[in-house]
Amino acid sequence: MPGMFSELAKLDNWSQWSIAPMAIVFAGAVATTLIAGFVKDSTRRSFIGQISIFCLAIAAAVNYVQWTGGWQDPGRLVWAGSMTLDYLTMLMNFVFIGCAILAILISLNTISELGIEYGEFYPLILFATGGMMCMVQATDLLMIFIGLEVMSIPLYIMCGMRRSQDRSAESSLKYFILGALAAGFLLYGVALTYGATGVTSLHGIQRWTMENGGLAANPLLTAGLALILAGFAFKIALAPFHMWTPDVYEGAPTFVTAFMSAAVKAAGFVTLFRILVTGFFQNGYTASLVGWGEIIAILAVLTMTIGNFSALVTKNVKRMLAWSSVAHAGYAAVGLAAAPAAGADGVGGVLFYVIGYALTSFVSFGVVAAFEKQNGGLSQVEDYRGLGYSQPFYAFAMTVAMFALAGIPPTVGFLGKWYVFKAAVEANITWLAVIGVLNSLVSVYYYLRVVVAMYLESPEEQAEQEPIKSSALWLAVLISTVLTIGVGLFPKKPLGAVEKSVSPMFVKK
Amino acid sequence: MPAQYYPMLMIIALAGLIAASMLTLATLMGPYRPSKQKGEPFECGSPSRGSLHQRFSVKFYIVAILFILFDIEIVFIYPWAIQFMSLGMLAFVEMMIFIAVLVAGLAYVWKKGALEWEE
Repeated sequence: MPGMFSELAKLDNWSQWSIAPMAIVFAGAVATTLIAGFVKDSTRRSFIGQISIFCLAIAAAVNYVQWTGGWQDPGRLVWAGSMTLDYLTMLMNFVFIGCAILAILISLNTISELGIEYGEFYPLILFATGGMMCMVQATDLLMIFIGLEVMSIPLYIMCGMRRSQDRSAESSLKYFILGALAAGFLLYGVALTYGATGVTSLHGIQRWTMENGGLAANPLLTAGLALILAGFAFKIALAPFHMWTPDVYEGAPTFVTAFMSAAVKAAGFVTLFRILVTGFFQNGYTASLVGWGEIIAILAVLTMTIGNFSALVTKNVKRMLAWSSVAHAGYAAVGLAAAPAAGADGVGGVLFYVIGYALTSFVSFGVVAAFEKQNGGLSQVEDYRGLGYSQPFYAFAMTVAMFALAGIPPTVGFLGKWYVFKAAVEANITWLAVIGVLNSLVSVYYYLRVVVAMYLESPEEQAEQEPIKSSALWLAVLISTVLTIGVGLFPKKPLGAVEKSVSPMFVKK
Repeated sequence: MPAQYYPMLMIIALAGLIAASMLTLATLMGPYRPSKQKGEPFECGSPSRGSLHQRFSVKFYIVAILFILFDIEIVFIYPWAIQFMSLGMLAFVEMMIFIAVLVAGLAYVWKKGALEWEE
């Protein structure tokens, strides 16, 4: 392959500058790995967390420079066409870095409360964050796969960090086996796509489908797309590939669960719509018998309904939130199903929805983390009774989270639902929006049950409801609560950023 | 387009044919004189002993994983070294970064004591 090597040798300075934030995160990951190996004293390990936050902050600053004009040519392909730096990548870099910082803030003190003070947690979360940044930045199926694996493997380890707990081991093993299966599906899909088109780059696939009469003309490419779709449906927990979610989310340490439901879901959705819109859209879509839009519409209906009705009968709060995260993947998928007809509105709806959901899930899982102890703590809905009077701050944050998840204004959850359902109506699939709204009505019951327990019911005996004393955790919950309400009240700037990110994807070149 | 894959199909068919004919011919034409010694599991000529289901120390896996890691490193370095003159400075720097990451990993593993065979 001398051609590829000589092309790599000709790279300009653009390529290096385009991956600067990702490179900083990975450099931080390697550095903290070394520190974690050399620091023996377990009480000094939160120091590694502070270094990690520092690295993430530098990466965010560089990303900010690129966002505000340090990157002259958004959408330019770099690294021999396998990556790009557009506003979508930069916006998602902010989201991933923010999620990692919030997860580390939640972990700083709770990690010792759970008896799992491994310094290796911080490099792992940095590696996972870097993997997500790589995945979203990639425009080549192989590069996307590498990013996906770099993201997933640290997560398998982090899920099993509570080694003495059976549930944590189960969570790790389940996620690992199903994740490996999903990676197999995805890779098989990539191989079939390559077999059909002879390229792995998304732009190459699009060019090929436009020149060769679309998806329908080639069953091999259709099969490839179906397998890629199945692989990603595993990662973002779309039914019928969602079965792992409740067990994995419940068994993992709560700060890892928060990171998974926020960042991993967002990364999966954004990469999926980049593949679908950039690689398999335009002529490729219209010429196929059944487009991916219809398939995702069916998955969305299944996911919403299964997620909501399972959450309805779940008593454990963390497990209920896990089912609710399945349901929310379904709502976001409504926007994706609308994308072929509604264009930037559909994809923009998905993007806004997953970012809003990321904020909300840090509030809800942050509160759960505050009351999770090594032995016991609060787990069932009944345990939260009277929390509104004993712990007003955390109860208020939980209320905001529940309102946002149920889609009640003025939270970000309401706006997210509004935009995806509006896109569905624009795309002439009103039935999907109706099913979405009906599902939201069902979900109000189990979200408000927590609020009712906190404010209107009193605990049977004097229950112990002491949160873990941690100013970092408190700060993380405060930041995400303020953002959940703030973005809901003043959505103009975030919406502008979302539109700036997705609209170039639909410009024909 | 599927015409490209016909040679592959033929190779698969040929492989199946050869294997099947070897087995069939050996069964039909070969002599068959079983004895007790021939029925034993064959292992380097010496009689096998002990249980088959033994638990191995986890250290074997760590060593195997480390081996694969450095094995892959060679796989990457070799084509790079062949093309070194035409690749230039950028590739040199990139390879140094790659090796530095691996060395950092090695230092971590060393410090953690994964390379110590005896406690």
